[in-house]
Amino acid sequence: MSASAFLEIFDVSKSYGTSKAVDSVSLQVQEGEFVSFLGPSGSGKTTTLQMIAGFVQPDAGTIRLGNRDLTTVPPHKRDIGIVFQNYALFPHLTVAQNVAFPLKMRRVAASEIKARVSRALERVRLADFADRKPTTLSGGQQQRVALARAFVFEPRVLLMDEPLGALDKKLREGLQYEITEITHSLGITTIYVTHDQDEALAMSDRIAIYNDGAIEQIGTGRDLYEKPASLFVATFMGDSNVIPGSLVGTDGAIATAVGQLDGRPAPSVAGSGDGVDACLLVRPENIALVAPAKGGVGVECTVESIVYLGASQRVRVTVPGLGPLTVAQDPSEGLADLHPGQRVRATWRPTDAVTLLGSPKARDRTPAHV
Amino acid sequence: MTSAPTAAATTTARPARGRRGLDGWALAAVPGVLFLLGLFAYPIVRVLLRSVEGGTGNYVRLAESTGFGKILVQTFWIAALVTVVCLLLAYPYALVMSRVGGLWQTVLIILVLVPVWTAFLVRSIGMQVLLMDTGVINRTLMSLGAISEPLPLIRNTFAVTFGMTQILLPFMILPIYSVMRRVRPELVPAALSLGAPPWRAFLQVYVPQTLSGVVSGVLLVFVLSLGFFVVPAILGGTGGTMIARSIVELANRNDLGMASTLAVALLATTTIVLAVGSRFVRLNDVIGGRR
Ligand SMILES: Nc1ncnc2c1ncn2[C@@H]1O[C@H](COP(=O)(O)OP(=O)(O)OP(=O)(O)O)[C@@H](O)[C@H]1O
Ligand SMILES: [Mg+2]
Repeated sequence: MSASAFLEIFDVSKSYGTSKAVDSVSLQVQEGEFVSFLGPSGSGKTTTLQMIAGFVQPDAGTIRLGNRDLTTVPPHKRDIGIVFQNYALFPHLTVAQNVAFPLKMRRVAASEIKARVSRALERVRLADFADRKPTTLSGGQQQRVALARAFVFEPRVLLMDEPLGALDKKLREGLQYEITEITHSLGITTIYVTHDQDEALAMSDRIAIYNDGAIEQIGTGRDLYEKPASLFVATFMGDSNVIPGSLVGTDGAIATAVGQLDGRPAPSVAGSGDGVDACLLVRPENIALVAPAKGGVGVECTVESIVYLGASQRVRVTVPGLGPLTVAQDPSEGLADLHPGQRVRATWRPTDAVTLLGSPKARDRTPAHV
Repeated sequence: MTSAPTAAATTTARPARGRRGLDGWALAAVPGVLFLLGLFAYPIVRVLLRSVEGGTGNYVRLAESTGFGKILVQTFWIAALVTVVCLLLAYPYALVMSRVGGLWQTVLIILVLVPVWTAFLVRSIGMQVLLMDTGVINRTLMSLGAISEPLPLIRNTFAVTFGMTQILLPFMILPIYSVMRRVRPELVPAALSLGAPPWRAFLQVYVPQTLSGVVSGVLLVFVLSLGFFVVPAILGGTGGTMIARSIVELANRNDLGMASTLAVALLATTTIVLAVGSRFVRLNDVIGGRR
């Protein structure tokens, strides 16, 4: 990666007792970029954020911001804004005083504080609430105050740890838009932790997928979905069908219980030889159900159930010797009058199937994604 | 120790919003109400009446006598001193207690509670053994050759302040601790991230969250100090007289009128302190209730 990255995390590790909370994480973030950390609970997202903020000292590794080594800089001198899940507003101060706090700490002139606070409050549409105490505001309003307080001093980086985690779904979507609108227009470099895949996809320039203290893969949402580097990423991002088998050659073909199937090999496949555990990943929307007599890459199967969802329908089919597959299709397309018990053929384009190392049992170790 | 603060606290507490009104269940409180009213209000009224028996003569005597005035001033002075010393000791103690985990927290809590469970009298006599001219401290220092005459550790204001601080410290620690435990842990990190140096984060963000506990503790200790009897009686001698002791002495000399007058003066000042204090803190919090 380029040497000019704005925020650079290099080989950072942190252990608590014998367990590694963060294990050799490296990451480069460009100035103005919006990067999300997505991953299961306990995978090290918060710990990484706290090391960037300076609340937790890494055991090893360095963190650089704008070419300055931050590793030994105390939190209050890092110039990093943080938005916490529980807002962390100061209850004894009014909304305006909360937003003025970072400016006061920087000894900004009183008249300028006033102007900047009212501008920030207007930005988050809370100008009318300036003199209220935070506890009299709704959760969404409190989080907007916290946001205003975190960007009013123009921090070099904005960190947000599940800022919308405590809010309901509808409110979350509005705020997602509001947050990205503000960070983009102010050009603030942002790191955003979330549990919510849709949120990460909607907001981020890039997403870092965390697993077990390490970044499993980082890329745009599309990269992660279409070119997953590992079985974990593949199954964590969106729904997927995983067909287990073992490698045949290095072109991505695998031998499965229903014969040899072709796939596009993930980069990690290149160095592995015949017989290594591998599997084929096919997204539900990439599978088409056709008459059994028709050819093409795929497998014979029996329709198990059909769930109509309006714009799409989910068909569950069973492949003898392999188990169930999920198919997402447009209800108006494909075979007419599909019904349970029907024998069909599930096909896909070989380029839509990805060959990944590992066996799907590994999936059991990671929490199922909802 | 008087029952004044607790009773006053209960009766002055504002009714909580959104609670059910009086209904059949309220009958369950009747014995308690009778007990408090009967054994508190009635004697108080009697004391009030006794103090004005035969006109306002007793009050004139109180106002004119320099002796009683001095004792009243000394009472306030000692109570204030005890309160300040308790606060200085209690705040850091409670802070540490709310921060450490596991075993240490248990140890610190036990150190607070066990003395509370021990009778004041026993503890006062214990302190006497410590502070006497021939007590542990003086004897040790003398045998070490550090002093030739015993230090004046007893029968003075120092002894009373020392003893009362020892006894009242838990009443300062516990309300402060209970508020500290409720301070959200992310507030100080938030202040740091916003550019506050650690000491400013502490003073401007942490301390304000704990003020209600401080006011509670200060009120409790100050009011309890005003009416303290046991410690001044045992450790005070002639030097550390406080008003409660004078009341008992007057009563023993059968001057019930004057004893009542002093008691009313004490009650009145206590009420004023509580009234002023309650402008800053809800009395409900002092006794551990939440809004
Ligand atoms: N202060 C701590 N002491 C001991 N262990 C800790 C501490 N903080 C985190 N851990 C452990 O480190 C691991 C990573 O925790 P972290 O909070 O970074 O996860 P996370 O990805 O933020 O999870 P979540 O999505 O649930 O917030 C977990 O196993 C956690 O139990
Ligand atoms: Mg977390």
